[in-house]
Amino acid sequence: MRYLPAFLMLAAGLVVGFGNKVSLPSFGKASIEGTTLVFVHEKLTPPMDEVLLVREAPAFVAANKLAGFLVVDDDEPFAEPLLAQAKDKKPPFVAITKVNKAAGKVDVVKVVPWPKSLEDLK
Amino acid sequence: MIEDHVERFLLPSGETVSTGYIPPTADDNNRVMANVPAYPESMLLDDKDIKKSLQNDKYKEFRKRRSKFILNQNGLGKCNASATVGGIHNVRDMAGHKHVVLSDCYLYMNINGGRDNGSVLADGFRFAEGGIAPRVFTYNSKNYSIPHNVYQKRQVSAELLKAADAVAKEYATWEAYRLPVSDYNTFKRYLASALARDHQVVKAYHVTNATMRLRNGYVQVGRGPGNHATVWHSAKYVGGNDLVHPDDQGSWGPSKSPEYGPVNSSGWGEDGFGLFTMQDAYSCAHNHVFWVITGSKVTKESL
Repeated sequence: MRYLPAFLMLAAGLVVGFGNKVSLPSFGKASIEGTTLVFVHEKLTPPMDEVLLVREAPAFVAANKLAGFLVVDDDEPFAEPLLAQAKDKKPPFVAITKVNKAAGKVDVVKVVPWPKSLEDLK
Repeated sequence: MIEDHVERFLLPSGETVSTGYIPPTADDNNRVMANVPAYPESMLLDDKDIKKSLQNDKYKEFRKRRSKFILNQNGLGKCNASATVGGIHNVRDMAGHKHVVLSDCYLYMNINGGRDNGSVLADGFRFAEGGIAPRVFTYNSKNYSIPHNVYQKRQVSAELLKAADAVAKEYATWEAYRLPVSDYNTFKRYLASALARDHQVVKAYHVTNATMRLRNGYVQVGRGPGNHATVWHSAKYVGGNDLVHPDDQGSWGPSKSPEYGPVNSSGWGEDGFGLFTMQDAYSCAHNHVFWVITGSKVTKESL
């Protein structure tokens, strides 16, 4: 219940459809659908606070019934469309996404600067 | 004459466990030192950040989460492969990848020269960069399973090998870094920084009969060049001159599920784990190239 407001906000964002579709390599048959937090960070210069924030992710994802999370280095191919979508926002940032493996795409719901706590995503 | 690099020891429970680490020659080490980049200096942390990351026995939380991933070598000399796979499981978990049990036997049969006679650290990380096949997987709509007691390619079908090779690339690690070991203080700072960043360090140490039991929670490291490979997955913050004590994740059980090896064992250590003093951690560092796993590539199978 503690994270219900955040979950509702994310769900509302998906419903109103303010996300942008980003093409990714084919994901084949779907096994996971839903909202995924993608942490995009600079590979070789992450400060300690980034490590600590990522450690919060499993509990946050479980508490908010999200589909999952992924930590992505800014030089990975997976990060390219997210970086393009982020426009002026440079890593590190968190992309709130809806991954559709069956369709082979990720809808970026929102890109937010790296928060101090995942609670700040609410 | 071929030297036997697999030594066998008895756990207090009576179960036989194996080492299986081949010490590299000086030339091997020099080649790796020349070709494998050092863990970046930009990753180094100061005492304050190391404390922030690892204080309050954070390693115990990681033990709890990772105890379900503890492998059991099943009497084979595949310690290096098991250490590598164990470390990759951990970095994938930390980065949010779907948990897929990778096959340490697949890795072992590709780096042991066709014999159950151990393997070399560097061969493990070089191969892991290309990917390690899961224990159970689907390829071209057909299900496959790699047994946990095989060490030669001829023990499995050519079809299984071909399928395993095809799917392995979905589970590739980022490039390996070697851990700088020029002197004790350098080694300590790099190792503590890597573990504070939740990176995994695959290393060798020397096992004797005394190693079969922990002493006050600590691994009893033998005097010798190093005959066994495992992974340091985290560390206990202790401050002072030692700074941290690395926590070892073994591969002698207890496995919690048959996917990770035989489950009929009470296993080694504290649920598969044991602490090292920093001095013991350093004891074999000059004989080998310890290496750091920073992450696994994101692929369609990560989600």
